Amino acid sequence: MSTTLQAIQEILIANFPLKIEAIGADAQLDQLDIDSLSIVEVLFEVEEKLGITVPSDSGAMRNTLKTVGDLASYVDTLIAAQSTALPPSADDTAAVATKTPTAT
Amino acid sequence: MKRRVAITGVGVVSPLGNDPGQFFDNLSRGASGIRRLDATTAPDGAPWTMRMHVGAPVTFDGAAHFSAPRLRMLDRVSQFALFAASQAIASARLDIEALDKRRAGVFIGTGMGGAQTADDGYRRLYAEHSDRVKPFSVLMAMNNAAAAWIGLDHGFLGPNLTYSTACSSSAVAIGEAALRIASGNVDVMIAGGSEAPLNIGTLVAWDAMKTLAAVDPDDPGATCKPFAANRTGLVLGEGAAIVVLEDLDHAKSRGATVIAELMGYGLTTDASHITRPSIDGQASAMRAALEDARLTRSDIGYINAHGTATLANDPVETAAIRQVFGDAADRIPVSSTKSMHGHLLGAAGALELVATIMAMKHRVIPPTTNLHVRDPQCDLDYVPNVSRHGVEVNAAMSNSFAFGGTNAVLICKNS
Repeated sequence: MSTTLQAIQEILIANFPLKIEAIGADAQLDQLDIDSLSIVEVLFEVEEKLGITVPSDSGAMRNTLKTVGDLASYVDTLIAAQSTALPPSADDTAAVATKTPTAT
Repeated sequence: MKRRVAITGVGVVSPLGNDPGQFFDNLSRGASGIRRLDATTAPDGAPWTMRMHVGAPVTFDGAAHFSAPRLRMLDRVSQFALFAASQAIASARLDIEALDKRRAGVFIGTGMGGAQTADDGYRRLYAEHSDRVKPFSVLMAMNNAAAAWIGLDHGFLGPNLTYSTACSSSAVAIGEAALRIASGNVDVMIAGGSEAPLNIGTLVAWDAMKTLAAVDPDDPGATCKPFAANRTGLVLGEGAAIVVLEDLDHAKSRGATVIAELMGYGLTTDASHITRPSIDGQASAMRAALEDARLTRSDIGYINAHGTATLANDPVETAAIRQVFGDAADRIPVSSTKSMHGHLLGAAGALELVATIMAMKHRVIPPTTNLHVRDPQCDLDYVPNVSRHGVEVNAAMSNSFAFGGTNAVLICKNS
């Protein structure tokens, strides 16, 4: 299982009245009452927790996210892009290694 | 022929209790909602290290009223407004599904809007050196958030406006809402005000103006001393007061209880100074309200004064009342309930209108507390320190005067 998915599930459970059974990868965000504003809130938490930056011009992309799994895949894309975009220092490499999921 | 405007519901979140009955009971007893603010009483839990540290906070647990996801979108000012609006709608027994929602609207007054959210954001940026603020900061801090949420929650499709005229904001909101009903534009309005200014940034800004009272060292609760010679300034308070206004015929046709009738609204501008009050400006608003109500000065049995306890306001308001009421001024009880609940800024006019209505309903004139040292320039009957019971009041006036010079006066009649 993707650790990104787990991280997002933890954020959802901490911030919304949701149980783990209801938020599998296939769960539809609109059926969980996670609207576009709530996605912004989740991504804010993702930024804090995973140390990545969600681009501020990502509105169109966000609107394509339909399931919890889509959200995890989108965050994985950001992690991959941002871990290769800048040559990390030795310390950063260690930090990224503990945060970055290897499987999707 | 303009339509008559009934008040059919009332809601209160105040330093003296979070329902109208408790609020007025405390006013009648001369209780004080003013106290020292410290790390345990500050609404945002922040440490208070500044020189001035007294205010009139509300005891309010947002989590008891709103789900966690909802609460994260609501500044304190909107939480107060939503809860007060729910009370008002419930007490009016308004069946929202039966309403023509296009003819129902929301007018709210607030001076500072989501000041707490702005302060939180600045703290994160400048004190905690973060480069991020909460994702809903804009939605929480915007001045029309409280009105928008009330409209959203209850599905009102008519006009939804936010008035910001400093300390007269909510009196203006109620007056303008009444005009909409009187004109036939709408049938039902949720109107009032909300304010939550007890955060460090806002308090320091007010302190910088040198208008805040020096803490009474013997009794912090007695710090606000309207009309007294030893008054030193105002005390900031927080809270909300919301009323349901309704076309009188609309209210009667659905069998609603009419609490009072909003008879008159006077609105004038000093256009003379950004802060200094004007006798003529205040007097002209009182006259305008009397004319609008088609009442004479002899009809007014109680005046809830603006009575801020600033050096400037109290003698000016006294002189303005004398100018309007002449000799009759000596027989009219005039009280400043700010002595007990503090100055709620944009919510003050609405809260004091509720106090005025309750005074008529209960035949109890709430006192001006902390008035032990008379000021020769303030020579009206201020109902000093102890409430007066068994006083029949047919019509009463509530004064709200603001920085910026906007004078708003409301007159209501007992029903």
